[in-house]
Amino acid sequence: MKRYIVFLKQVPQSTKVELNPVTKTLKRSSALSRTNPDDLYALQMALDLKRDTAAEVVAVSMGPASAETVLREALQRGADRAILLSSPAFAGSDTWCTSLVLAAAVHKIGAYDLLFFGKMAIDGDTAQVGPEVAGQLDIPQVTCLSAVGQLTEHTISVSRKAGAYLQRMEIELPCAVMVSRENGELDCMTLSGWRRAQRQEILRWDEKDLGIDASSVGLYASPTRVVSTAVPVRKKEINWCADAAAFAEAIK
Amino acid sequence: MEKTYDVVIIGGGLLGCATAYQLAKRKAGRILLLDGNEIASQASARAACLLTRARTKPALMELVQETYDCIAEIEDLLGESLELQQCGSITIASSETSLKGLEALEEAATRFGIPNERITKDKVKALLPWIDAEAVDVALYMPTDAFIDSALLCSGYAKAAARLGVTLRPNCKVKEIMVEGGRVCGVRLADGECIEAPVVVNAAGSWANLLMRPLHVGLPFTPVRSHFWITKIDKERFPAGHPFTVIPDARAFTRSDVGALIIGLRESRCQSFDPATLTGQLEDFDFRKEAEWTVLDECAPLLKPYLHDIDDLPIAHYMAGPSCYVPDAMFIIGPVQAYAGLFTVTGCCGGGVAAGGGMGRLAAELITGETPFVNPALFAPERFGEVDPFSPEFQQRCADARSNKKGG
Amino acid sequence: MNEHTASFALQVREDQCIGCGMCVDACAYGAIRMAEYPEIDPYKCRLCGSCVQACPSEALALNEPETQTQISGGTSKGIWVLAETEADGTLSAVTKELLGKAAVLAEKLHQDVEALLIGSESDAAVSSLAAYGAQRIHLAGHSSLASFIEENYARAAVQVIRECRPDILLVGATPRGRGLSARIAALLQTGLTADCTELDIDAETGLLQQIRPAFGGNLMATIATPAHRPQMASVRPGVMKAREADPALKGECIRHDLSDFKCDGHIRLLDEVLETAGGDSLGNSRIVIGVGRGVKKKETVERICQWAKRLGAAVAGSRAAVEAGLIDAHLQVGQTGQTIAPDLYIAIGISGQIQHTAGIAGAKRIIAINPDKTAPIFNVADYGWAVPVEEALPQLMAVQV
Repeated sequence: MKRYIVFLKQVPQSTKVELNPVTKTLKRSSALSRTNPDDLYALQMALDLKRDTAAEVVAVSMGPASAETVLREALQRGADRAILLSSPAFAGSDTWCTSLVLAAAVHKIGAYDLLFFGKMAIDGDTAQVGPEVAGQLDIPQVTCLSAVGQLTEHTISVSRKAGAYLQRMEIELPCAVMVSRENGELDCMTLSGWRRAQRQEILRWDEKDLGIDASSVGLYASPTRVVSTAVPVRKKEINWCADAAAFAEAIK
Repeated sequence: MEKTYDVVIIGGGLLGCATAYQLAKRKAGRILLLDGNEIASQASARAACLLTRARTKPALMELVQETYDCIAEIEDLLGESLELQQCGSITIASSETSLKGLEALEEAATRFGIPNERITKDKVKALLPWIDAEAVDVALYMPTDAFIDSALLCSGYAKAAARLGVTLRPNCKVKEIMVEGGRVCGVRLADGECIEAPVVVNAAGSWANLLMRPLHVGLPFTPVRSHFWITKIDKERFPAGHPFTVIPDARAFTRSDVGALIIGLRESRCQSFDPATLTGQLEDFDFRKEAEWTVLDECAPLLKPYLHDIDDLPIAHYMAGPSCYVPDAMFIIGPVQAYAGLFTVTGCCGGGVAAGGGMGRLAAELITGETPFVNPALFAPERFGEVDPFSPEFQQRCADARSNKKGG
Repeated sequence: MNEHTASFALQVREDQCIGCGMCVDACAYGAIRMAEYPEIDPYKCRLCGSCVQACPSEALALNEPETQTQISGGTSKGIWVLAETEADGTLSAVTKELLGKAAVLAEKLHQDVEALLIGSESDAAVSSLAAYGAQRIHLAGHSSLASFIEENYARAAVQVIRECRPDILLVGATPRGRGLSARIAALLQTGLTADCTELDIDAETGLLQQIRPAFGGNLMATIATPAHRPQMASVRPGVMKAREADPALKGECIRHDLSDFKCDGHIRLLDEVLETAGGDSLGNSRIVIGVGRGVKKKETVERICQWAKRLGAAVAGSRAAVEAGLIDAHLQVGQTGQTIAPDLYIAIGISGQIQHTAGIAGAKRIIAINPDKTAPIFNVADYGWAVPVEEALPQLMAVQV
């Protein structure tokens, strides 16, 4: 039996953030959260492949306790089990430290064939974590995925875009695949799936479970550091057009 | 921009837009309609859209008929279709209680001249390919019932109002209703701009009480969550335009939606919200997303006799929105006694799409001093005496009005 | 206070707290709850420091880690640009832009601009690397690097970088560059900041300031890599300015010995075909008209297309327009679509969420039509016309460029 591990991130419902003009503080438009959209397509791909090959689909999320809802959704959609990586020690992790934690989780889960990541998270926009996990594990990474082809006992064939080229490749397992909404369509959820998911347990692992030193992850261990944040300076002064004639002048 | 109007309407939802249209039709002067968001973008874009004609409550059939009349008028005026879907409706009874309700509905429909007939299980099955007709004891078919896209209807009212001279200002938040010496004198916008008007109509729906609060006026309603589920498209099973159903025994309604089935369900204890917690737009409001499945879980067994595979039905969408519920489940329309010139039209109780045209008409008639076409006492804002819409006890009373609803 | 919060990096100094609650508003993660003093949920907190900045009474402190800042000019040297080439072997535009920025940084650090070219040894690419400002050009050629395979390119890059120890490595945030840079960073165990829109050198520490939009573009975050080398950043195409090419410039070419290079045996390239251009005509258009959700009807889009034809413009759309079925998905411009840099961008009925504006940052001139004068598109536009689309369109049809 194969094992597919899918990584899902909890992200804000909306990335819209308003700045309070008086206090200059952030005003979140919404505290609502959801599963990062690309990650759902990653899960779908794992579930689709599971239909053709006997496999266990493991859903993994790293984040606060509230990220359990993301894993609950993964279980409802058909994941076999779910693991939440949560610890205050993980706070402030940059993409490199995040990928370190995820790679440690992969090791703890044991043998695996495919790792699935969403291409990009809507709140971070880095598209880095998947490839960095693949890099840390030194396994092949399929970015810019066009389509997944045949899956055999030891290989997967894929086509991917590399600049102007479309490449067809055969890759030995295990490997990591980055998936986006262009790669498929989501199945709808059902009530019976929800009922099943409510009965399932979500494992929770912290740095001790993963066998990593608390000082090797989190803010202090992260190679990159946010040194400041600022309100973007408006560089442009806008010129208003009063009518079509002014507009015509502007586009000349 | 103009700073003085004869009437300012706050709220570009169904009720505000219908009122604007009805006032403009009556040549009630210079009218301004304001909304903090886009027109027809909030609760009016989240409705189930059923235009059920037959009603057992007083005055309701007249109000609904007015909506049908408005649709025809507006289509004429604008020269465009509002896409009314005359699909018919089927009310289903499978218990003694619901049979009583069905008989009352039948009587009301006949009295008002609404075509209706009891149909056999075979006919039910023929009209509703998805239903397990065995569970249906009695079915009442009303072929002239229809549904309409509520956002389209709402923009229809707004466009027609604009055509008749109403100024629409979307994305323009009202900060407060200004009063002076016991009467309204206008509104102040969030950016500080003041607009003067001797008549202000509060049609701000869920937000209406937030505007009334500084005036120490409590309108007798609170937002209560309504919701529906939309299945994955299955054109054979859920053909477009098949009759909508009301199944009181399952606390459910259904209607077709481009090859999918919309299923509305009512939990045994409805969820009310404190208006103080509302966000500026519903997209950001927490309707408790988990209800998508917890409520479906609670209600599915009731619907199962009619839809055997409800547990395994792929659900494509879930939509939750606020309905403004009043303890007696009747609307709130009319003058607010505390301030001359202050009117309100709200408290839709889940019937704003169907009755909106009539509610707007009654509001307009009360504003212009015409003889009202239905008894306004039924909808008087002060009929409960003084209420505190921000108290949990009162909010519970409103939620119960929805929980105890007899129809779907 | 439990054992977790006691050792947590973000600390509340209760004696200084005035209980104003501004930290609660500042937190984008909802991690702060106001009781008598702010209570921080360490599971939600990402230690971003927004609350520390917002606090008017310095009652919140982020304990600074005791990592050593490596002063530039130590053992690592050189501002490197990872070169990207097109199918015909010519240099990609983003590489020229990166060289332009690298020159500015190099001047401040008194270091050299160097380029790393993997795979191709095309003379055209080498000479234009020099012409656009690379003083030293590192060539990593090998028969197995003829095709772009991330794993192999990353291995080759890491081999050369370990040997030469550059201080800074810049990569274009292109589809190829993003995956490659992330793998390189993982292998080198260094930090990487994605999708920067601005780069500078901190005058005090000499560290590379990597500036990128955060929180949907409403804030700009400045990120540094204090101790790890190289300092890596991927940079959004179309944002930096390339220098004028000077053909007289000749860089020093260094051919690295990759005779021991082993490509990743887990990957077999079966074939690769050049995709016919068609979807990318947006990228070549001098004028692009962007359609947003404010253009409500398909018929209006058709009229815009007619007008575009007359102007010789391409038509693109925001994600909202794509979702509304107004524009084909392959014509989407923005974070999750294409990035374009036309001479003129005309935004019609586009509200201007960062999702979209991220894709047009390189446009030389932006003109926006939107009835809402406060729409964020006007924050990036050079010219604005606040008018409903339906009203503007008939008048636009008469306009020629």
